[in-house]
Amino acid sequence: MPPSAFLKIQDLSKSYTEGEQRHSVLRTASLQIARSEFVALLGASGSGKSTLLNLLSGIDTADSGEIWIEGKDLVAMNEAQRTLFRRKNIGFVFQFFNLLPTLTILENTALPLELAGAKPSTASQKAGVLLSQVGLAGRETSFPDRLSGGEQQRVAIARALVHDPLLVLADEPTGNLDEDTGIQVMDLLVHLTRGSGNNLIMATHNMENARRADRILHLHEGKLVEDVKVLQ
Amino acid sequence: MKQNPVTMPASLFKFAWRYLLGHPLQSLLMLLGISLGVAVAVSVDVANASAARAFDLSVEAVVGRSTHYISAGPAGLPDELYADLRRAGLEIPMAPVISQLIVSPDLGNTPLQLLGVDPFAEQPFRSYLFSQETQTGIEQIGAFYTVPGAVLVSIDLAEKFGLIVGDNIHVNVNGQSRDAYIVGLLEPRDALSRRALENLVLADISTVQELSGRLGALERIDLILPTDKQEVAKEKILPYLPANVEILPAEGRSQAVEQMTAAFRTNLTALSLLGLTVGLFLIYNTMTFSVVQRRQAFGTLRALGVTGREIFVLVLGEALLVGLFGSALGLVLGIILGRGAVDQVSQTINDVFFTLTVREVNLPASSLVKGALLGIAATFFAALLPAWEAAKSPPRRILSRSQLELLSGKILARAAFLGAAMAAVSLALLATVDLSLGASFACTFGVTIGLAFTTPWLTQRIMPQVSRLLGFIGPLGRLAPREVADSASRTSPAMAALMVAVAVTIGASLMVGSFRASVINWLDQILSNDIYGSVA
Repeated sequence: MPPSAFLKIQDLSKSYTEGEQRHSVLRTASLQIARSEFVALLGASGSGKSTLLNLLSGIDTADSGEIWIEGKDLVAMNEAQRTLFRRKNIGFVFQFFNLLPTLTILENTALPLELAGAKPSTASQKAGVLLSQVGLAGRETSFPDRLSGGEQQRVAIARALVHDPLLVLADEPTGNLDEDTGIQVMDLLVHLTRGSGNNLIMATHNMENARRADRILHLHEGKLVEDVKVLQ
Repeated sequence: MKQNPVTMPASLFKFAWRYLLGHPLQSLLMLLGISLGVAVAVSVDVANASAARAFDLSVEAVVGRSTHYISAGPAGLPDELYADLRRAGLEIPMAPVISQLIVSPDLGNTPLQLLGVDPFAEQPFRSYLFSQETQTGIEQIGAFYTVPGAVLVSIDLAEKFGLIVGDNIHVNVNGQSRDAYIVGLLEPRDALSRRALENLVLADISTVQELSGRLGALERIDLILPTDKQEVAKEKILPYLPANVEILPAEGRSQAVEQMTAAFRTNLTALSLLGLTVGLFLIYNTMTFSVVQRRQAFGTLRALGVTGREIFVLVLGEALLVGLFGSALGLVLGIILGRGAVDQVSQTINDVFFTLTVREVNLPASSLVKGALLGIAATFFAALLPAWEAAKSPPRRILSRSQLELLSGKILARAAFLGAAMAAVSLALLATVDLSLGASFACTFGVTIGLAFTTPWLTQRIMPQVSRLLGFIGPLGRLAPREVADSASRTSPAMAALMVAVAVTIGASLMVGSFRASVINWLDQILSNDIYGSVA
């Protein structure tokens, strides 16, 4: 039966084999997230934060357990179905920005919309609006290598939100930025996702960033050890 | 959930197109790989076709419309036989022929066919020589019979070397210098006659007999036997023929010579295809490199929701685009190379088989279509594996650097096993079964490609030993071999390509060497004495 929560994971486990050894990176994790909720996954490197994001986006598959997003069973989907689900419903913000170097920032931003089937003119128009919102108006025809790290991450945020996804996943979005730029990028990410009502799940080891979320989930050696509501 | 069809937004094409433009050297390498492969295949095809066409025209010029001929082999026929047959009133068209290869310093020193004929008997056989349409009619060539050494040449040949009616020319016949006299010019009535006449010098039977020193001898008597009553016609002729003289079909003469050169031309074609295989490895190598280089970008695309099928189509489309440009460039290069190759091929045919003058490069449309299709198909197959590799790897694997080499390690072992099996089976077939020429070449391909597939795996095994051996140089000496082994997905196709290229070079040298050795061997067996005498 599909759960009533926007996102639900139940007894989710994942392990990797390295040589002869098998390492558990996520152990029977369970949680529920309400619509429009901003959740921070906090933990040290190797605690399982990125693995959980990969599983939620359908990039990776779990060994066992369930993942339900908006009533859809992700575990039951095959690779192609997960990809198409991701195309429509997930926005990604990576630590290393991952913009496509041969596309302009307008084309980078418009790509998820074009993939979703929007006309190129419509996609470009909406991408232009979002680029203005992240403070990059007038830079539409620049290529990513002409932008600073902070600017690239702002493009990545615009790209993650342009197709109005159900869920935005951010993996250490400020991990590759200096402190001041990191704060600006976080402000923008939180402002835009809250403004559009998108769900945001952010993996971080930065307590300051985590405090801006509605809830902080502590992960330690693959286990969810603490679930804290943050009072804003 | 229903699977969506492949959607390719314009931005994805821009992503691919700009990558090609942004890496001009890499794109150029791909272009060169395919264009050189296509160029070699097309040029060999053009050279073969030109040589074959020239050969057909030479045969057509000499054989004409005859269906059969009376021959006694190299010994020739007595010319009384022709007179006897004429007197018998058999009502069968027949024409005596004697031919001789000559070279003339006044006609460019190229080998020409001196054809001795009887003009009164010629019309049904070689109409382009003596007909109403040909301006040089029988009435105009009275000197043909009366002047010693009288010859006719085509008007084109005369114009080319600045000769006119009445000029004397020196001809070299069997090493002896003789004088001939141009008594008339033949004006061909169409392109075919023009091509047929361009290698011919025409004379009366007795003139050729005198010039060649074969007095009273004919080479053959051409016949036109009625299609439906050939056996009846033969029965009429046979009682007049002495022993050792027989009636042979005209087509057999050209077939024998064609068969002699068929193997040579098949060899050239097969080696040109191996050349294309080298290009194929080059495309594979550059495509793999471009996929490795963009692994992170493909990972990003997959994370954004681009399906494996879409990435497969994208990479393959990119390769095909280069393949199209490369094939077009290859066709142009092939035509240019073909003009040079015609000389080489006809020279080898002249050296080894028979005298052939190829004056025009024949450019069959089928050669160009075949070359373009070969180029596009080669690109398609070479890009399949890199495209599949980019498409099938899940995004997590694309984002991780070590996985591809881990993957290629497994692929290399499998490829080596399959390659060794293919080479072993092909070798066994070559050694034990009496195969046709085509099947033999298929097996040779099997051995070459099979061994090419084992080379990367073997190199990966050998490199650690090389690293140890080069250890005395210091860290740099150890580093290079380790790099080769560790980046097998990029270095292995280059190794395989090099191996095939070396194999093609050795194969070509062996082929030419063995042809020449066969001829020398044959000459040694035939000419065992120190000095020979010859009738001048």
